[in-house]
Amino acid sequence: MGTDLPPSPSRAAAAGHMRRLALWALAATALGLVFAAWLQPDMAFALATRAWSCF
Amino acid sequence: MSATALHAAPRLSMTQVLVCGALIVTLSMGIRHGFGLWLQPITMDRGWSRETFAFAIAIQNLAWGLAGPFAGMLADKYGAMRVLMVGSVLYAAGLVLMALATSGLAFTGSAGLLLGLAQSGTTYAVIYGVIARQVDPAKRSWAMGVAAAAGSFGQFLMVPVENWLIGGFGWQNALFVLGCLSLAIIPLAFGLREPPAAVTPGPKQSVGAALKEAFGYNSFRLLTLGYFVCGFQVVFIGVHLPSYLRDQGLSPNVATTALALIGLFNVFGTYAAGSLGQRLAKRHILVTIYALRAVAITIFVLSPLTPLGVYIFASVMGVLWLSTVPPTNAIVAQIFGVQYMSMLSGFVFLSHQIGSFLGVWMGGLLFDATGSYDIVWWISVALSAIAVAANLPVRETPIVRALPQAA
Repeated sequence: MGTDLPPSPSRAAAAGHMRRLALWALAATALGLVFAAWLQPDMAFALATRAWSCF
Repeated sequence: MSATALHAAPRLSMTQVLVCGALIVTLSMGIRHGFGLWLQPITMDRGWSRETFAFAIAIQNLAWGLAGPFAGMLADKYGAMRVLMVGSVLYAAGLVLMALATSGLAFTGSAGLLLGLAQSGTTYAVIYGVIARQVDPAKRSWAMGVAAAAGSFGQFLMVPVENWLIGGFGWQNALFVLGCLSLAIIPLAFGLREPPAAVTPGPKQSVGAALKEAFGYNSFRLLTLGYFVCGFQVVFIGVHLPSYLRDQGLSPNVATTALALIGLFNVFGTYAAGSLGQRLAKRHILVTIYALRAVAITIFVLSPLTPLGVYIFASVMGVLWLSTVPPTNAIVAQIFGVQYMSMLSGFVFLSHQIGSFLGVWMGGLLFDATGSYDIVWWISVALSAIAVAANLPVRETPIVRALPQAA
C-alpha cells in the first residue's frame, strides 16, 4: 500500500517548513496581541505614573 | 547501540529542557517586571511614601544579585530542581506577604528580601546551568538564546497581564493570583531534574579552586566588567526614559509605546544573539552590541526629539536590550566548563545588578544635581566604549587545566 511508504524527503522537508512557518506565525500573533495590550490607554496611565517598573 | 551512546552521560531531551526552562524564566522574569505597577495602589492604600516602595525594590535587586552566586553554587551541587522548588516557594511567600505587609519593614522583608532571594533561585543563572550541562555544545548558544527570549517575552507579556489583574481584582488579590502562578514553577522544575551523572561530569574541582581560577582569569574579569555596563545602561534607560521624554514635552503615550517597542524587539534580539553565537565569535557579538548601544544613544541625544525618533531608538535598544545575556553566559560555559556554570553566571550577574543599581541611582542623583539627564547619557556612551574595550580581548577557548599527577 502506498500509504505505508515513508514520506518522500521533499514531502518531509515541506512538512518541516510548514511547521516552522506555523510556529513563526503563532509567535508573531502572540507578540502582536501583547504589543496591542501595551498600547491600551490605561497602560499609558499606569506606566506614566510609575517609577521603578523596569528596575 | 553505539559505544558512544552506551558510555555517554544520560541527558534530558533538549525539547524538555527548553520548554520547562523557558516557561520558568517567563514566569520568574515576567512577574517581577511589572512590580512598578503596584507603586501607586500600594503607597496610596498604605499611606507610604514612594521611597518606602522604591527602597524595597532596590533591596530586592541587590538581594537577587548577592544571592545569585550562592543559589548557583547550590544548583551546581544539588541540581537545579531543588533550588527552583525552594525559589518557587519563596516567590509565592514573598508575593503573599507583600500583599499583607502593613509596615515598611515587613514590606522590605517580603517584596525586597524574600522576592530577591526567590529570583536568584528561579532565573537565568540556574536555568543556564541546566542548559549548559544538558544541551550539546553545538547548540548551547542557540538554546541560551531561546531561554533568554522566553524571559524577554515574559517581561513583555506580564506587564499588561499584571495591569489587567490589578484593574480587575484589586492590587492585593492580584498579588495573591501571582503568588499561585509562581507555584507553577514547582512542576516545571521536575522537567529539569538532571540525571546524577550529568550534574558533575568529568574531573571534580572544588568551589574554592573554581572561584580562584575564574577570578584569576583575565577574560572572566573582563566579561564581568562588560556585564556591569549592560546593567547600568538597560536599567537607567528603562527607569528614566519615561521621565526624560515627559521632561522634553512628549506625551505619556510616546513613553508607553517606546517601552512596548523595547519589550517587543528584546524578544527578537535575545533570540538572534543566541543563534548568532553558534556561528560567530561571541566576544564579537558582545563588542557589536555595546558599540551599537553607544551609537544609538549618541544619535538619540544629539538629534531633535520626535516621537518617530523615540520609536526608532526604542526599537534599536530593544534589539540590544538583553541580547548580551546568551553570549556572556555561553562564553562562561565555554571557558570554564559546566560544573560551576550557575555559580559563575551568578557572579557575573552580580556585577550586572551593581551596574543596574548605579544606573537608577545615578540617573536620579545627577538629574537632581544638574536638572538634566545629559551627563548620564554621556556616561552611558563612555561605559559602552569601556565595554567594547573589555570584550575585545576576551579569550573564548576552554581554559587549560593541569592534569592531576598519577601516583
